[in-house]
Amino acid sequence: MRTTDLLPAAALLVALASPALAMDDQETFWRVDARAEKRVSSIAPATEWAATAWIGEDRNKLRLANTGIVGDNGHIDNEGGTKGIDSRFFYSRLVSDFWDAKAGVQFTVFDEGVTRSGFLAGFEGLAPYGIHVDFVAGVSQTGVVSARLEASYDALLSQKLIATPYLEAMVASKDDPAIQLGSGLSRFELGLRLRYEIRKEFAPYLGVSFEQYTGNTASFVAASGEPTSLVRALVGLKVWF
Amino acid sequence: MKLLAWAATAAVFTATLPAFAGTYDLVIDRTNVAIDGQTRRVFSINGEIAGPVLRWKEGEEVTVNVTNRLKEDTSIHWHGILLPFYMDGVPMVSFGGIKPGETFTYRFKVRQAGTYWYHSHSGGQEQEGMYAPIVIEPAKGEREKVARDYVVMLSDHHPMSAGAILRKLKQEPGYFNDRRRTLPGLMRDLSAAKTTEEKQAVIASRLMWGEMRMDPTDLADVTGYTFLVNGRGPTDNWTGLFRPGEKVRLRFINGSAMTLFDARIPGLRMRVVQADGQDVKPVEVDEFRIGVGETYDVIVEPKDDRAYTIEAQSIDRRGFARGTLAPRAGMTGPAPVLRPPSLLTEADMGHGGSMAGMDHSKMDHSKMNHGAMASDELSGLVHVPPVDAPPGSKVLSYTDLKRANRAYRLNPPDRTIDIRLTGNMEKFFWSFDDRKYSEAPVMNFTEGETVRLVFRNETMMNHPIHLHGLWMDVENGAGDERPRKHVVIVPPGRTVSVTVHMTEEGRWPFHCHLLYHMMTGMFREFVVSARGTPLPAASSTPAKGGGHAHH
Repeated sequence: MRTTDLLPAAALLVALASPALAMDDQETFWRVDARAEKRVSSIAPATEWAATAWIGEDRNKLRLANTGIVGDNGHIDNEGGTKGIDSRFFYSRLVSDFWDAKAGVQFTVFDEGVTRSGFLAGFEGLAPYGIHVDFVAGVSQTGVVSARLEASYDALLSQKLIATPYLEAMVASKDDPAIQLGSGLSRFELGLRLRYEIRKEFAPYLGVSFEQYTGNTASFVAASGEPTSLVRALVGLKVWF
Repeated sequence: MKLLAWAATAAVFTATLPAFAGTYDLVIDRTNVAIDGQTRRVFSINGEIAGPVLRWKEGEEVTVNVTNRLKEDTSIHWHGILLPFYMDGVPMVSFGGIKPGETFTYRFKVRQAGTYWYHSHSGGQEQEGMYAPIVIEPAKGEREKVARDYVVMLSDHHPMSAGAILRKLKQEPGYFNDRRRTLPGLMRDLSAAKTTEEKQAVIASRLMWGEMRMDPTDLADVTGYTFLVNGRGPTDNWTGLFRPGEKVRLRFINGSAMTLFDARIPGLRMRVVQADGQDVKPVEVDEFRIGVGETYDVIVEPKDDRAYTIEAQSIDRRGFARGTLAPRAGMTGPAPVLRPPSLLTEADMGHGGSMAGMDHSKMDHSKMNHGAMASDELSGLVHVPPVDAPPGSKVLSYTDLKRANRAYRLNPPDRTIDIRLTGNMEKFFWSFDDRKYSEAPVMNFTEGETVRLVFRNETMMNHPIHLHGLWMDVENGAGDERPRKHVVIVPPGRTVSVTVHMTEEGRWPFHCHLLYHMMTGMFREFVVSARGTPLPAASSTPAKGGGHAHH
């Protein structure tokens, strides 16, 4: 991403932070969420993290995200071209009571220094029954059109003990062999995280994930000698402020 | 110099009309106070919270010098008081606010009597201590002859600053709800259900609330408050003394930021004689609900030589404000017992009957029919008293309120304006007609016209709606006896209507009196202009009456 790309964003930030009106109902707020976990496995142990942040007022926000997974072998895990170390930068706008539409850019570093950048658009919010949904579709510099869905649900076992089943899935329009991405449904992951909120803002958790590569992606992953189906135990910490 | 001139003028007035002019000095500062044994840093008025009581007389020309010793701007708003709009004390609407180190002089003639209050209208200072009572004696003396007269000011104190609370609400709207529905709770409800129908109802309720992405336990946006009587916590136990057989007047004022209360004094009937400072025909009750900003004056006659507990439970039943009426200091009455919290019901969503078959994901509240509006008077729709009062209790309802003062005329409305009470609970902002204050133009009115305002609450929360500078005549079914108020509670899913005679030119704030609802956008400016004249200037330096002085 070039410096010039950041200029409109900087202008927006200044606008958001500008002095208030009579009754300041346009005040700027922000929130940072971060999660780090060990993915425990005899064959593919790894460390994963996800950090997201937003700043803005009720209707207009800037959103940042950084996620990544690095194997205990020291290699970035491409996850079949669906993950790597991924940074996103969005402008989002509230379009209905429960949904923000968003558009922005993405930059991903894969194993062996391969990089991909692209444009993304999508939405995030709360679906009926309280299901958190984050959906983005985009196009990368290699011309691959892809879409990614993340959904989760907080089931309260008590006011502090919360079970969160989740789903991640990605589809791609064509192969990108350099990052092991195949066309069609590339990969999906189903899992459950069980967190205990010592404070609302601070919650250690345990979990389990089932990860499955499919189609051409599975062939690419298998060719590099990695498992195409995996169950891992998760141990992590979730914080926000 | 200017100040000297004013002082001289005041002195002259004092000499000639001793009963009709008074000067009051208020100093705003940060102070430590003790609440239930804990030291709390508050925004204080003359070193107090819930005080000092200002005692005025109807007809008095009052001068109030407010000195700001804070590091930030402040203001004092006279809640329920009729006055020139530039004396109303709302920053950027009625004046420019009071800067640090500055003294602002408020000057107006008191044109009414009764129980009112005053508070800061700047940021969250009100929650953090800046609220106090006003008692105005009628020109002809009090109508009710009593032996004792006490103010009972209810409020809510929070260990977090108002700014910190708002930030958490914006980040995580359910942050303060520690009663969310759980899976084990579902299992309990299912095993408690005896029949298949009951089990189905349990499931249907979960599905309905889930589909709406709402929580029926969401009765209060903020929890963690300590509830106070006259600035004292429940264990501090504020006490008012009486001799058995005496008549005691209690002036209840709800000066909370976010809390509606259900108040009662077990063992005593209360005779309600005034609401929002206006005399009403006496009504005997056991309990009354008091919204933020409302006042009720009651008269009790304790006969026994024992202590009586004044208890006011918050409507989410998380706690109570407590005080005592006793023949001697140091006595305590029976401890209040919190009633179990209720859940919001389908009716609170504006649906009288079953919701089966409705597609709530496509629910368009703006098209919902909230009841026939054809009749001249919207009776019977107002005020839902608590359903959990002890059996046999008489709970005050708005329909019980009938004006005692027949000296003013009630006009039929010239026009009707619908105002929907709206909000986004997921992003935590509140609004009228889906638009926040910053997103909506002012509402224009002509001096002398009478306008019916129909409030349709499309949210799950009670909104105490407050209008500055003008009375709202509540259409409560009492016809020509209907009462006038400055705050009207609009319960969840309900419709309440009022008429407003636009008697006072000016810029008048109209807002929900729940602090975080007002701060996030549930606010409008009513501009009342004389026919054929331009609008009064906003936030200009007052042309007459008030003034600033630097120290």
